[in-house]
Amino acid sequence: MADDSPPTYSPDHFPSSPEEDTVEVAKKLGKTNMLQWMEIRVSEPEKRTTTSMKMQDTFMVYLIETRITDNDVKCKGDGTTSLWRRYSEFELLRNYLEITYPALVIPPLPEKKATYTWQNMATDKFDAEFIERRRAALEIFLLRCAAHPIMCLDKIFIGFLQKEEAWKDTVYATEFQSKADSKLKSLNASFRLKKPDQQFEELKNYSNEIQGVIANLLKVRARMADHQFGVHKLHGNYQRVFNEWSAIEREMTDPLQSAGHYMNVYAQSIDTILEEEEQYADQLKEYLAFGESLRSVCRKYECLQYDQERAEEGLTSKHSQKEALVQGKTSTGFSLGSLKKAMFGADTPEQRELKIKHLEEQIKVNEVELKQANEEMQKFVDAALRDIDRFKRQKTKDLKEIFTNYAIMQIKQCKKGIAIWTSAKDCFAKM
Amino acid sequence: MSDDLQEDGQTEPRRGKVMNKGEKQKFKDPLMNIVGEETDDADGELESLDLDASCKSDASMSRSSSLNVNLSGYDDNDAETHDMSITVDDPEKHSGTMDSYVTFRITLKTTRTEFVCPEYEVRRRYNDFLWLRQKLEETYPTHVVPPMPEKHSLRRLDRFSPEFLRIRALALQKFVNRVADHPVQSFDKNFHIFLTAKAWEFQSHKKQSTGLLGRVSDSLYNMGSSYMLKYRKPEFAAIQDYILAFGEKLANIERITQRIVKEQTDFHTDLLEWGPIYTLWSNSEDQLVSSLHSMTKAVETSSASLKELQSSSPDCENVQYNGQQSSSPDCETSSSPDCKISSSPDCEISSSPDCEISSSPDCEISSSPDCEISSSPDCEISSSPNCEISSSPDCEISSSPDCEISSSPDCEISSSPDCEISSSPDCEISSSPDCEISSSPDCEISSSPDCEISSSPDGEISSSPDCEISSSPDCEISSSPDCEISSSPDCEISSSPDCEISSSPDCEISSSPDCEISSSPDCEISSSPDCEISSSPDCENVQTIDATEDHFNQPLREYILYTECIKTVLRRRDAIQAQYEQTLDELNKRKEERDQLKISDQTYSLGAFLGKDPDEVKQNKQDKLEQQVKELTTQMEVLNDKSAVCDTDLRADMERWQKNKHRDMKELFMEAADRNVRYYETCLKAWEDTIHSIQGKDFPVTACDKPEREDDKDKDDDILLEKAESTETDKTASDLS
Repeated sequence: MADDSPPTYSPDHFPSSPEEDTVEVAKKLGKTNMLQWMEIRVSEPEKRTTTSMKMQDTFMVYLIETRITDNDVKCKGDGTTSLWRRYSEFELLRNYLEITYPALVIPPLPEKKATYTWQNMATDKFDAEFIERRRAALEIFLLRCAAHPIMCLDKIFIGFLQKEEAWKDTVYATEFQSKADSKLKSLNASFRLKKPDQQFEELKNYSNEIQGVIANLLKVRARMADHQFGVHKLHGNYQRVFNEWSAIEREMTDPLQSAGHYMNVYAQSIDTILEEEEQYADQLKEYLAFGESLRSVCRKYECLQYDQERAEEGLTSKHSQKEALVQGKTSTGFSLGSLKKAMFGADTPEQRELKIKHLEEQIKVNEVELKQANEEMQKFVDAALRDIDRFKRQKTKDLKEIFTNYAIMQIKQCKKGIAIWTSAKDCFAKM
Repeated sequence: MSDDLQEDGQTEPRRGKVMNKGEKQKFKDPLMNIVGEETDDADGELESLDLDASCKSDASMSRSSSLNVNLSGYDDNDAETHDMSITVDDPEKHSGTMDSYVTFRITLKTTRTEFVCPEYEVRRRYNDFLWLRQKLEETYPTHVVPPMPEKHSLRRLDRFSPEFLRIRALALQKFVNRVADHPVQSFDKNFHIFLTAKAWEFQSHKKQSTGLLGRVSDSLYNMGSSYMLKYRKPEFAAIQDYILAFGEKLANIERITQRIVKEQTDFHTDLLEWGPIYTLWSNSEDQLVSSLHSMTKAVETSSASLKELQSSSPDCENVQYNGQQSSSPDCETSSSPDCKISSSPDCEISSSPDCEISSSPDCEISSSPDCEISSSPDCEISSSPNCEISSSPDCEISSSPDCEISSSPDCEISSSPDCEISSSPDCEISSSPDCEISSSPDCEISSSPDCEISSSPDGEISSSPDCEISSSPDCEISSSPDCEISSSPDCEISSSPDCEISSSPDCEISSSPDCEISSSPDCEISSSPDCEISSSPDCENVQTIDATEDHFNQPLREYILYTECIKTVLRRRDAIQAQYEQTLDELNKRKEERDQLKISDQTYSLGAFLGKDPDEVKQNKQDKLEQQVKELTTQMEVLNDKSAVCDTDLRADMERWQKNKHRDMKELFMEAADRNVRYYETCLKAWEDTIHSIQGKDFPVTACDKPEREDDKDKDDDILLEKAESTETDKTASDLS
């Protein structure tokens, strides 16, 4: 990726840590993302229970392991770390990232509880299968962050990977929460925008579309899984009947029994198939969540634009006020000013001078503000567009891979089906 | 194998006798004439479905059995009997003023010398087949006569729906071919007449040779005696047990298959929905259009091949039948008034639009009590089309005027053609409409399986022979607004709630009868909801289900029916044996008496008491007993002969049947496996193509953001495929082992 411009939103207001050194070294070596010199794994979930205030709290923790793979980057120790994190800490990290880098498409976390399920899927929060899928998704989240040219340089992120104690405090120390725009504001902004930006409007629509489509896909898939499951499992019933039947036949006993065996194999085969297919669903779910990330970028843009428009508005009104004062005498019409004039008499020239001066000062301040807002917005737009571009490339590549994997899965399933039915046919042929 | 050899050795000498078919045919003719003349009464009973074909008188019996002994040697050699090939196809609907029915074209190609021409083509209706089967059962009570397709579709397919007719034609073809392959039955005179005679010839022959009223008591006697049997040969006891178990297994398989088909149909619907979503998605992507389209394509291909899996018959066949159906018979239907009755809309008729019908003689039916109907013209109706009528419209009739019928005059109806209907296939029919009927006075009628139905409509249905119905379409129906439907069947369907029905699995119903309804006079009714139904894809799905039927479940069905036939023959065999044993007992008793008499002193006998000479009395008694013993001995000999013949016939037929069954089952399952393999192969191909088209369209990969797969960046589809293959083979191997 050609994106090695300095991080736009990199905050550098907290003390340097030893970890920073490695990052600096890596940066100097021309590494554009963390994965080129580090290996990250989320391995091994573990169930823990803490008892505080007589309230039992059961949760899962996940072991995060890192290992520095590039010898040039390695500075001290063996370059490996491992620590436990729980889901809520991942959430904290993501919140931090989202607020700190409003222009970036932040990778989503796995769903909190299983959605688009079908009859035989576990819905329990502590179910091994569910935990395993969550573990995999958490790993993907970390890898996506680490692969990002900007996020991978973030101290908090690096701390999350490597610094066990007091990480939470450092996060809160950044006071990232204070930067968060209130929901109300963003809602307000989206309604009151005067001229919404075409690009971001499109992005918003796109994220809605993609979410709709994927949600539909997932819904139908869940139903398909149900029916496929049914089809296969029903074949299992043949085994029982074939066995019973073989007992009353003289000649076809063995073929019937082995055919029954294959019917059972067929029934069993669906379990692994659907388990694998769940992976496809998870990948789609990630992109369903990415839709939300995209929208969040749009929301933040809207807030900025709203600020900018407000600043512009303020400036224009100040200008017109000044105008009115300058040509004060000729002003007609019913206004507060004219009312005042009528009641207290016209301003003295001195007073007017003062007012104009005052206004001019305000205008100046406003102009600076507007300039800032403009700059900020421009910066945001640049950064956002760059990251969205990156996201789109990533998405195209990912989806192609996801579809390919799905096709491979289907091929596997077909081959399995062919193998089983061919064997069954051989059995029948011996009848 | 050793059995076979033995059998061959035994039968070798006999075969010489039957080689000359012409001679044998000649030998048989007089016998047939006897049967024909003898049964010359009771024309009206032609249509009846009496299941227990009756026994014939002893004289004809023994003669036919001796013939059978001669012929039974035939059984081992199937090849020799494959000299007749019969096809049944081209169903055509005929509408008369009273009655509409369907005829099938029967084409016979034969090399047998007793036929004048090598090829014949005739048209016969279902009832003619029934007649043939009945004649065969009468003529060969000790042989297994192949089963006929049931009179009614279990899924309440309309009698005139092309799907139903196609399946029926296939089943009838199977039936006649099985008869043709039978070493004895294929030489039957009635069979030949059935295959070759012109319509008028055939009708007059039918009239001449019908009648079995006198035999009912005989068969009843047989039924009773089978329970008095003291000792059944283990060989036949084994057959009986086997047949029972076999029938049960097949029924199980059938049920499983039906459930699978249902799931598959649902899955198919999902696939149909799932494919277009990818296309929709491609609207919002610019880089992924081709990938998404290829996904759609693959999904569509798999859904198409899934459909094929269910109906391996080529679609064109269906289309052809559809075309025929829509082009000819239905037009006639709407043009002539009676069709409306028979097609199904009778309910509406009775409620309001009956006016049109009432111009024809049927108006009396709905307007006033059924008595008149049953007495005169309705007989014909009830014999054939009324079945369908009763499936739906009878309810209405029964709701109002039928009550009277059911209380008394219906008995007459049932004694004539209707009783047969109710005894066998009517159960299914009555499952739906009868419920309501039975809540009213019809209960008495439905003394057999319908009573249960009536108490709480659908649950009990499944306990009785209606199981199949209730397991598939009816359950759902009843859960949905079918209650209303059944209360007065068709009206409500058409009025509104059919929409819901069609969305639920009731489609099956709507697929068959509703299509016709909408195409025929029902249009007015179906103007709103039904049209959509018939045009919707659900109908196709239903057709799919039906198509599976004729490839897997139809053959299964045939064998299930076969078990019934064999049971009947076994019962008849029991009866003959029982009769023999009875005679033997009687004989022994008399002999004992006679022996007792020889040594006994008649001084204190009644005769002596009355002043007769004891010796004379003794002599008289002895003479009488001698006479009785003599008579009984002859009778016993005849019966013994009969029983032996029966055993031989049955044994031979069972052997043939076992062989056929073995072959058919093998074929059936192999075909099913083959269909599945084909389905997976098509899908496999589709998905492989998808991978190629996803990977093939290259685009600049600049970003390597998806980290963990960085290494795989330049992998191509071949590697992917290989990977898939290798993991796959490993897995399958481990799975299968």
